[in-house]
Amino acid sequence: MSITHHPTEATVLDHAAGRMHAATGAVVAAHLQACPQCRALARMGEAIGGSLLEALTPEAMAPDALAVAMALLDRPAPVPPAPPPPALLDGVELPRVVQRLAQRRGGLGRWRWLAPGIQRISLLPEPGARRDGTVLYLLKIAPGTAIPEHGHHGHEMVCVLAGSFTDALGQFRPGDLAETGPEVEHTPVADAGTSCICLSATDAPLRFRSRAARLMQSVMGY
Amino acid sequence: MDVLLPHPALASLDMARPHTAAPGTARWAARLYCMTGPRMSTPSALTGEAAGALIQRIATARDRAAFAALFIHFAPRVKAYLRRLGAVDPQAEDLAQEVLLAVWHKADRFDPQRAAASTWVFTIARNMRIDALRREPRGGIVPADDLPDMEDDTPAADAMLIVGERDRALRDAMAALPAEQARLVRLAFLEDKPHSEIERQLGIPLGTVKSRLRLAMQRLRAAMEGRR
Repeated sequence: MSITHHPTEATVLDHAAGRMHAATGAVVAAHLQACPQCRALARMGEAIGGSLLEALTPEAMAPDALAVAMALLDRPAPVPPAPPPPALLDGVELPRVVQRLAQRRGGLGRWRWLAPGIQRISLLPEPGARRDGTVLYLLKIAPGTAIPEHGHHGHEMVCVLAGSFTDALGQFRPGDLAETGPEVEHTPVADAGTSCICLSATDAPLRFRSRAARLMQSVMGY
Repeated sequence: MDVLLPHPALASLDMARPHTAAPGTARWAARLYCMTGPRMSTPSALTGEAAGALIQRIATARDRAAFAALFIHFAPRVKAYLRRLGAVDPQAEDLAQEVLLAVWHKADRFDPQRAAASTWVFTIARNMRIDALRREPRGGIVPADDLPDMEDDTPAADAMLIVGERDRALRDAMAALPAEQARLVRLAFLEDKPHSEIERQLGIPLGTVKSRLRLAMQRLRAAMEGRR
């Protein structure tokens, strides 16, 4: 798998620092799983975190904190959750981050029609969780289908899992990550051949250009 | 901290033969702690190598004195880290406690070939903080389990210096960063604010924040890979 589109260094650093939102963080996690180059960068970010931790001015713990901790050492170790079984969706092996989300909610659910040629499985926010404008979903785009031209109030991050799409920035294949800010207007088109499956996060609702698309947005909550 | 002195864990240390404790070893660090830790008002200094050796002592021998020495060193720093990111007591104190207990339970997963002790402790603290936030009703941060595991890839060994050297190189390079770049890197880790707010706060456009972070990362990477 040759990856040509990467997140910015700032994004990888945010991920290593543990300060991304769940939805965009999940898309970066999917990319990192596929990209040794960015994993090395993330590891360096962790080393930066370690040296910053080391350099922090310590804040005193309660006087009995160590005694309390020592007394807890014989407590049985917490059992880590079993790794999720490998999940396939349309024959595509899903990244670990999606598998864990699926495990937590007891299954992925099924594709739901969103627009002609576009289907979606919603992952975040989880049912019952507070809506804060940040969403994560799987998208399946039929070959040749364009996602209507749209800009963003916030950021959008997409990691391709299968198939490919092309927009003004080039072709995006499995593992590639597209990161677009509020200033970008773009029209991704799924390439011919197989459907394009992506993991997509936005931290603010998309803003479509055409009236029809805006109508679709209001109806579909896209 | 005087409550610690009579703790039975400390009696297990071989205090009779101090000359056998070579500097940098776990025993040396634990002895250092016995001599200085309980009396010190501020937490101990511990070299990266010594901290790594202590974690390995826990992994191989469930060494409680090694744990005590690590706790004295890291718990107040982890607490400081959590408070910088907005946690308040008692949560910051409790979570720092849990992080150090996780160090005890996960010690066998520490690989000194891969990461410095402080880096490993940092990743545990980061992940447990995220887990704690996720349990809150309005939590919403990347699920910790999805951050890359320690064992899932191998760096290009020939391009990397050994961990201790790499860490020192990184620290030197961070000290040598231009002030603004250093500040942005610190903010990325120690301020719970998105870049867009940093941008407002510092009066720098977001694009500039990102390009300065890129420059900083390039310099640090060059230092860690032994290129200058």
